[in-house]
Amino acid sequence: MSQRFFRIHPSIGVARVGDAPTEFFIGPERPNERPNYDDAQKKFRPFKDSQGRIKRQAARFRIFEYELKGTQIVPLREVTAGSQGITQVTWKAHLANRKAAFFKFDGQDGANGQWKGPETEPGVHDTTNRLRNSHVPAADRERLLVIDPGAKSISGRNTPPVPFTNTKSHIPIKSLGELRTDENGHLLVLGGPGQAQTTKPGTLINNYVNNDHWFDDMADGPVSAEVTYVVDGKTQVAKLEGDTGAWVLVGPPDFAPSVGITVRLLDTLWDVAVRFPQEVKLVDTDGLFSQGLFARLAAQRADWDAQGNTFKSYKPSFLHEVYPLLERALQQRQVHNPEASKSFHGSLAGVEQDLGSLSSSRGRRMRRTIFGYMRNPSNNTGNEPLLMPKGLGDKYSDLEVQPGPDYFMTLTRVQYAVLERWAAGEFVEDWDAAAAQAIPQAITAEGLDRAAMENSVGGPFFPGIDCSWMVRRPELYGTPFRVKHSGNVFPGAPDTLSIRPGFFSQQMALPWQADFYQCKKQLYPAAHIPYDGERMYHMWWCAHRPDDVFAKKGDLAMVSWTRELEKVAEVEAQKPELQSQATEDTPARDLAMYIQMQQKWSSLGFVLQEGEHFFESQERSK
Amino acid sequence: MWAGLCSALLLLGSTASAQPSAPGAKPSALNNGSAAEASAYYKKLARTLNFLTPETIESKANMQELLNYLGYSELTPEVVEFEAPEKLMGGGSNPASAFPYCGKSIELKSWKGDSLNRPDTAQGVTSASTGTGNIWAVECVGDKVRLKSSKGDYLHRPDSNQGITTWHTGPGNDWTAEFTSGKLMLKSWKGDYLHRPDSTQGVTTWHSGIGNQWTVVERGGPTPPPASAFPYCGKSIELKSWKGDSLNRPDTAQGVASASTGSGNIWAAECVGDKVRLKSSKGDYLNRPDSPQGVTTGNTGVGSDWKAESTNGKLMLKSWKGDYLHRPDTAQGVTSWHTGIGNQWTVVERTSPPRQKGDILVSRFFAPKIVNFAVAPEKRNIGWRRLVRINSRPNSEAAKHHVESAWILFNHFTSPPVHGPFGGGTPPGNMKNSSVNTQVSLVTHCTGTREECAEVDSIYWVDFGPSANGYKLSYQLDAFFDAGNLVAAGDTAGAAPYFVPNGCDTCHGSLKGQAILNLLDTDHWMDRLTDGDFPALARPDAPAPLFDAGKDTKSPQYAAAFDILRTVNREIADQQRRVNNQSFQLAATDKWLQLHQSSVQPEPDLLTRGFEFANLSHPLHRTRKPTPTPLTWSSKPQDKELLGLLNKYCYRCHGAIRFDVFSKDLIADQTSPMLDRIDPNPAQAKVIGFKMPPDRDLPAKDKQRLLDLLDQLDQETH
Repeated sequence: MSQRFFRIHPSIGVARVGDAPTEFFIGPERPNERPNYDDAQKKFRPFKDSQGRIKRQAARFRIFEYELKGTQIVPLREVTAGSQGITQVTWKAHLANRKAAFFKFDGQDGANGQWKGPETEPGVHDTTNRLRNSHVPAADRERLLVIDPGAKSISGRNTPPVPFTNTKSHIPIKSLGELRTDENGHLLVLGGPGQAQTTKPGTLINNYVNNDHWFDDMADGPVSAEVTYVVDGKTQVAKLEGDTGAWVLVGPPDFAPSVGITVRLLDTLWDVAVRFPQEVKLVDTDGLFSQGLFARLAAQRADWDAQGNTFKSYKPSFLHEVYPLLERALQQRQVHNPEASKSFHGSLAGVEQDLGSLSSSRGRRMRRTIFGYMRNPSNNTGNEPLLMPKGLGDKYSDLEVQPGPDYFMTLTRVQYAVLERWAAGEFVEDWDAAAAQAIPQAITAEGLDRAAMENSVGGPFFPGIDCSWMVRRPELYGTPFRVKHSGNVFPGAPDTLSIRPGFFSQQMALPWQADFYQCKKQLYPAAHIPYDGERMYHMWWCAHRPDDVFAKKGDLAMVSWTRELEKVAEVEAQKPELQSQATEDTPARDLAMYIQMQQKWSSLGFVLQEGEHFFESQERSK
Repeated sequence: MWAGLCSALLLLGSTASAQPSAPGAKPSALNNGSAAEASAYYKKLARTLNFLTPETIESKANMQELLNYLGYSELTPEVVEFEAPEKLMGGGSNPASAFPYCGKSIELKSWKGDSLNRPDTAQGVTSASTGTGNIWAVECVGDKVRLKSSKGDYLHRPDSNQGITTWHTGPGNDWTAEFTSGKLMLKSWKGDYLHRPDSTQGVTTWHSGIGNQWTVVERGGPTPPPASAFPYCGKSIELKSWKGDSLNRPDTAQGVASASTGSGNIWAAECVGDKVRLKSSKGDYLNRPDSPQGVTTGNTGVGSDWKAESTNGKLMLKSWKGDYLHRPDTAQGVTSWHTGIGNQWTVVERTSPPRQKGDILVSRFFAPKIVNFAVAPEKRNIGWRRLVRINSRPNSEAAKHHVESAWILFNHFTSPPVHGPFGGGTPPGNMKNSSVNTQVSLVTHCTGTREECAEVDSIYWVDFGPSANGYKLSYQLDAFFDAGNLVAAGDTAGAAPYFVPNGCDTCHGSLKGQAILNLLDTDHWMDRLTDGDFPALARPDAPAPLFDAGKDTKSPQYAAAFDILRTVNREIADQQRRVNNQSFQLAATDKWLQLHQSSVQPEPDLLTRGFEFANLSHPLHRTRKPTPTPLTWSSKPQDKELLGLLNKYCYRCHGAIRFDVFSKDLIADQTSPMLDRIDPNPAQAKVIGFKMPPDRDLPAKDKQRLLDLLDQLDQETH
């Protein structure tokens, strides 16, 4: 064998910030595995250190060797330096934060490759104010607004941290995180402490997403490696980047690790891979997609009807493709109180056998009912608030406009098409209760990719939690789930963008805590929308940022997740300095809550599960 | 996904204290809000409606404050709760002064020719032709009459099935005077009447008959009560001092002061024997404590009794200590003193604007909605409601803030076989079977600009605790509406807290500002008499479901009482139309109004009561086979049986929440989730609120029929 094939897994790793300086945990590495969950003990490990500070979630990257089997190159084994002929592994990662220099976020502005600026009233854009910190001249923006500590390398085992220290003294952010290696020489990428500061003291956070003079330590960037090995006495070096490299996202803590998000990053990137086969290449020789769940991706691509946004003959697996989605929908009960409904989604409890059986009349009836509730992503007019998921979407607007397409959230088109086939009785009857909950013991290439993306938010994107709608751009991916390490997005468009460190985080809220406050459940309709039905709450991302929680194990009534911050904000809002800066759009209470979230986010609790109980952790808060 | 909230609100009581308190009922997962939410809501309400202030509403609000806010400071909560409907609606309360014999001595001659007599025994009454025992002194207290015997005790109706005696205190001493054909009838607190049976001698109580009728003969009493000379008995007065200010009840826990203006300047004069009592705007009385000097306020007792004297056209109020109510020569204040100009008060009769017909509507009725169905039928308490709809007076604070009317629901329970749901009386302490919790809907009608009205809720909710505890603001009512799971968990009381506003909103159409009033479905109440759920109401002596109407549906009394309900339902339809003219709730109300446009007769045929309504935009509607017109209940036996079961077990909630069982089209939409909820699997059954109905376990036979019939409908329509 003259040449060996390697890839980094996971293809996209997800790290999460935390203010505990030393303690951290490693993110999920097996399908079905939840963050920081001890499968042996059947309980979550602590999310906070002894001083009540939140532990960071590290993204661990490994190298898998592939082998040629027949016409395909398939995953063979995990490799580390010092074994299997590998003499050296040198990791490299490059984190950056470009938020303060990016365009202002305003829904889908920019989705066609041209940012017009925030919409100040329907159809009117502030074209002179397209950028955050627009007062900073173009020539100075990179220098003054971008936190880019540069690429960092690390190798060896248990290597001390290599920090992404911010070297720009005028930006009050200490670090974007650090690299470490574990006892086997795997790469650990840790994000920053979740810090947010302003360069202009006294500048309040007064917007959910765009706040000039503010900086935070969220980041993202490429992960690559050089694998040195000896073949036939000759030293070879494999450079793993691009299609063989990886990317790391740094996001906020997942405060409901026990609850899955309805549309995961895996679902979103899967959808891109199925619907954009021209851009997202999948060569027949890539054996990663010939086995396990990923084999179904290849089958779906082959069967996809792009005109109808449906499958022609594909039969989804009830166990692997339908049931997990329904289970996640049921779990939303644990983090969201719709207030008008006492037992929403209860129909989904304990009905798996029927739902997965073609012969069950009850299952047939329920499939019809469940699918009947689904909002069609290809026909999402904005006029059907009763449909599911009961969430707000990419084109939400708080301007006085009528809800239009994508005002409400939808499943991905592929998720919807899978349910459509299932509702029609065209699915594989493979229900297995034990398998549905099983966490495989083995660490696999596919499992690593899935586990990271299963626990990351894939929508809606307004702007999102871990990344925003640019993640849907198919030109980002050389192959499914692999972000290119160079090139452009929106090629040829007025605002073409380079794929570079900080690409995904630049689109997110600045500071991150601003939207983390505002992305709470929201009453529909707003005052200006004529609507004859019942008022109701819609959710955003409550599986990561809970709306409501059971405060302790066994509680029957839910309370607001941010209740303690709200109490303080209620008092703080009366202070003259907030009252004087309050506006109709941003009342003093919101200003106070922004401050609370920016300063006290790490005092918030995590929603854990023990048996059938979901409840807020009782860990000490600092 | 099917969010079939089935909350028929059942009242048990409410937690109330000076400060609305934390929940006392069992916590539940019924998503009915929280104390914190209620507190924030009340503060916002105060700010928006200018009802007290955000700082004071939780500690100060009570029903009297609400009446003042509506512009009816001359009314007291007790009057609103207990006064005879026709009197309350008719313009002004009917206190003692309306009875022409207050303060006088009378003899009551029976149809047999003898008279009501107090024999010379330790206790008791009989009938006799002559004797001092035939003379009774009339005392008028609030709207009640007391007859004091020659031996000093009172004509008394004990808490028994039947009978009469004498006693010194208690609600049994209070009688409601009614006249028929020039004869007096004395109605007891138990609902029956003082009765002279067709026997040689004796008196008792009974519901009807000529024995209830008495001829009043005014007699020179042993001590003609001086209070009868006091010309303000039963009236609202202001006492102006020689300093120009007035006797005032400040907004404190207790005490009196002097002030130039304010609702605290209004006092209700009550005449008891030869004494006068002044009842304050806060419900307590001007009181001379047992101290060397001073006045305060308190409940009844010797300190609250004053003797009215007149000098130079001024009133002087002599206390039981011998001194007088006195306004000293200070900047402010009131005390007691023996002499001086400070003892002299000018009485100004405070007449409120004349009440127009329709300003106040009152109706009392059987309320199956508030019953705990988890209790066996024979032991089940029966719910009753007294609805008082009061229009805000022009220029009142309420009217200035878009509040058109207040809909006050007093909630009462009776334990079978005892009846007499609407008890009560004044003064405080005599609150037999008073409201356990009182719900108020402040209905708005904003006529301003769209911007002005955008922030005005259609209804603002206020809840008051037990009347016997002073009608104080409460965060919650503790009720059983859909708390059957608590009973199943071993809590026999089965009450859950329903907090303002969520607990109200969820039963009234919508969260957060778009709530509607609910139809008063008299026909449904009638249905419940014969379906086995309320055996006590099937007894001949049971009160009528339309309490004020009686049982003779052809009587003028029935027509008059029904007309009030018709007016109320018309107003409800107007409110529903204003908020959402596409709602099924409005369609249901319009159907009732159509059926009862001129008829007062109950409509027992469920199919006739069915109405045409479809929710075309509901996701589940799209899963059905298309139909050219909405489905309606037909005369097919299956339809009749299914609607009957739905009416008995589901209408309590699903006459108002999410869908109405009388629309077949809406039921056809919901067949699938209904089948799941009526027959949940073990995992679903653990989801609190999932199982339907949520208030009880269905009898096995009825459950199976419901499932079979719904399954059949599901297959027909999908």
